[in-house]
Amino acid sequence: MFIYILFLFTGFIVGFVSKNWLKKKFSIDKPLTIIVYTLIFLIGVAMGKDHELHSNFFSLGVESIVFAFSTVTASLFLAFVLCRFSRRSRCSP
Amino acid sequence: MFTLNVLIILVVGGFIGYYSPLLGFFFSDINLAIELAIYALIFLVGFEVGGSPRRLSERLAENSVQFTLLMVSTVTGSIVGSLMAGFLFNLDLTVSAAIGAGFGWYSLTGPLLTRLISVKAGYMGFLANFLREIMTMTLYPYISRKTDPFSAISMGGATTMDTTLPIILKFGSRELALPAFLHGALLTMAAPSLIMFILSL
Repeated sequence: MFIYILFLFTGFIVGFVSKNWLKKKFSIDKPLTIIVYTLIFLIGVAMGKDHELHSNFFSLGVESIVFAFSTVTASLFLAFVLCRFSRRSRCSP
Repeated sequence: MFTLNVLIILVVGGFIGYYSPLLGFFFSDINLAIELAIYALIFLVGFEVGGSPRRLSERLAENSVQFTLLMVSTVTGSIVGSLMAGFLFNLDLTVSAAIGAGFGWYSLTGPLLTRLISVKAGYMGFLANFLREIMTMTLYPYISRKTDPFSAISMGGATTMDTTLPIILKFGSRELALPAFLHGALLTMAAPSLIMFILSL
């Protein structure tokens, strides 16, 4: 856990210190896209290599759909309830 | 376009992994490669946020109460919702909660769970969070019109700072750009630590 926080914090410090000069020359868009695509590719390779996963591929897919639906629904439900609880006629700031 | 690219790359990776006896030399230590890529991803996120901390904090102060309620809703709702799904399928509850704590950031949650738990958990973490993004893209226009566009930001989780932000602006309003971006940025910062914390319980 600490090594992830260390990388996050180091990135924050480097971004903060170099904001005036490095950010003008360097955009993170391209490297970020490359890293995201690399990660997606690697997770695809890991899935392809895992033969136990292949036999449960579709049942796990159905469970993932339920996970996505329940996280979205619970988030929306709480957001609407807390919005009403805050007693504003309209919740937008 | 990005979503299509993700699907194509995932399928290509899957085929290469499936035929890994032929290509095993190149992908023998997949976990190490995933871990290094996660470090790079987290570093870049820190770099991006670190470059504009004052602007972010000023914006945050403007809408503090409503914004705090929105953040609480997303974090609590995502974790409770995934716990309910995990309970329904009799899955490990810490892994279930960790899937929800990805907040739609599938490119982090999938690899992180693959690395730390199993390929099965990584697959579910990836797919559940990927579908959350797709659901936000397709359902936000309808839900924001029928209910409240501000509260509906909650469904997007961490994706509201980038991929689903244009949808929120187009079908919500331009005033939502600020809270939606901040909502996504803070969840993006919180997700790695929160997933690790939940898995350590």
